[in-house]
Amino acid sequence: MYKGIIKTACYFFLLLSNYSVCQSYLQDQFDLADSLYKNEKYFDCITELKRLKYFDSTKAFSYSSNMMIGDCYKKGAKYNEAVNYYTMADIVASNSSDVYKAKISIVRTNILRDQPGMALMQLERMDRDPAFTPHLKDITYWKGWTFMRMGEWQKANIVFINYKLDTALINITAMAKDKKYFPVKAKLLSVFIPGAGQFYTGNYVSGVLSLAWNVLCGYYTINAFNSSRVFDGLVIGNLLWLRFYSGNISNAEEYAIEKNNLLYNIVFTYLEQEYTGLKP
Amino acid sequence: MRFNLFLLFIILFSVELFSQDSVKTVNLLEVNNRIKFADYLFCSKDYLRAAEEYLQIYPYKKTDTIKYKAALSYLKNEDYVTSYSIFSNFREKSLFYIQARQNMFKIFFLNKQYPLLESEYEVDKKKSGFENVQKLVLSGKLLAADKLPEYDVYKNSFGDKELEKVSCFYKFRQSPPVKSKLTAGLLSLFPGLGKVYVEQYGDGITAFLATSALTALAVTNFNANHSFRGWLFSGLAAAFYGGSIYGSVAAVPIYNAKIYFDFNKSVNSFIEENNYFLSDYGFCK
Repeated sequence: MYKGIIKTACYFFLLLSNYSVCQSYLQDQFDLADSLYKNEKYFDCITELKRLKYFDSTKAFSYSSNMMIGDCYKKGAKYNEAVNYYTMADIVASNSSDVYKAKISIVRTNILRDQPGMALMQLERMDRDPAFTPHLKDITYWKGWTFMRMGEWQKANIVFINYKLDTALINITAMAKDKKYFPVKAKLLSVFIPGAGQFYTGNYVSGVLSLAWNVLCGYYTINAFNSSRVFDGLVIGNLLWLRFYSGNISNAEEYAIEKNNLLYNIVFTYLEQEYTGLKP
Repeated sequence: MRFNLFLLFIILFSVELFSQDSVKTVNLLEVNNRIKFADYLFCSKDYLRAAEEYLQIYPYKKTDTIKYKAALSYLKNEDYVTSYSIFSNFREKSLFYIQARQNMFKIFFLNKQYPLLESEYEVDKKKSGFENVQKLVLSGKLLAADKLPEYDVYKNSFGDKELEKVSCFYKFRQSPPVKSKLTAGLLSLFPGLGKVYVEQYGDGITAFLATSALTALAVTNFNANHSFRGWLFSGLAAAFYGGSIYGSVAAVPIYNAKIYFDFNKSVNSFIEENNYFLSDYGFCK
């Protein structure tokens, strides 16, 4: 009885060792690529991983090599190539955990390559998929980052607060939310009172100048019409007053956008240099 | 007992088989494996990695095929200096000599060294395999600033299909539709017409309207004895008028540069479509 078990175990061991001999050179190749990755030699790492992929007829390393190639390209800021390889990894992934890793890597790269719309769409799809329910908190975290990339500070803030995520991110989005200007509001203010939009965005000199030009040109136009100089009135009204009036509206909007860009840069400089949590 | 021995034999034999197989594939850096991998990289258009791989293979397998593929990879990767230095090493007896020379001509063309392309072509002109290079030389002449040969030379060198486009390029070079600064300036004496001449229609209409309106304003103000406003609008009208003349003259070099830019782009894309008139080895077919 025992003899039989021992024999079977021996045969099994022999068969297993046989298989592992065949796989070991692929594992060695993967280890080589891994060490190159750890030494930040990303170009060489990609070469060795591509070699591994080419000779790996069993496709045993297909997922891990595609993921690592994607990581290397991402480190080299070649985001489009990175997304291509993560997508290949996603296709060959054999379990939901691997699928999740590949998908979230695509999302993170999309945030980096300034494609937040695409990232959000992918996150929404993952959110609805029951297979990713255990990763809901992570998905929400990256949703917050996506909103930040879109400049939607309020939405990002709500997401971080609701899921009790990182405090630093809650604080920075709260600050950005309070300091954000609304271009439509700036525009509308300038429509009703020339220069008011500039005051709203903190550009007081420009606001005063805008108001003065509009008052002066308005006076000349009205004066011309009152003196029955209709042609003068039309020309001054069209060429000067209308020009200053429309200029004042677009100027107010531009200031709001400019200020928001400045705020965006401040937040992302902070996140890049000071923030210690997980980044895209 | 016999069955056990048989099973053991089968397993050991399969170990031997697998291990033989693994010996064949374990060494990924074995020369033939590296060639296969380099070819794969080349065909998947990863030319930089392919070039490096071919160069590393070459000391172990000094064949012209490897050397040629390495040079071709560098060429595809737009590293013309390295590519040229490898192509120039092919001896006349080599199977790849003609292709290597052809690629050298292509490098001259891509580097805009048209006179060098022509003088080097003179050396190989009468040898077989270089017939199509004349097309490249003649295309270079279309792009270069020097005088064009007779149209018959083009007619005899290019096929009917190619000639349709080539004749258009030739006509352009013979009498390029460039605009003159003097004409633009003279036409601008009528406000906006100079801008219309350089095909800036929107600017032309604006210049006409602004100058006429400001002149009319000046006249009505003078007539109404508002001399300050009259002079103010006269000044503005004069500024618009002068500006439109200056703008029309200044737009001429921009217009001319644009038509030459478009011409060069069309010639280059035509040559690219025809693969620089070179024969293709079809390594990836």
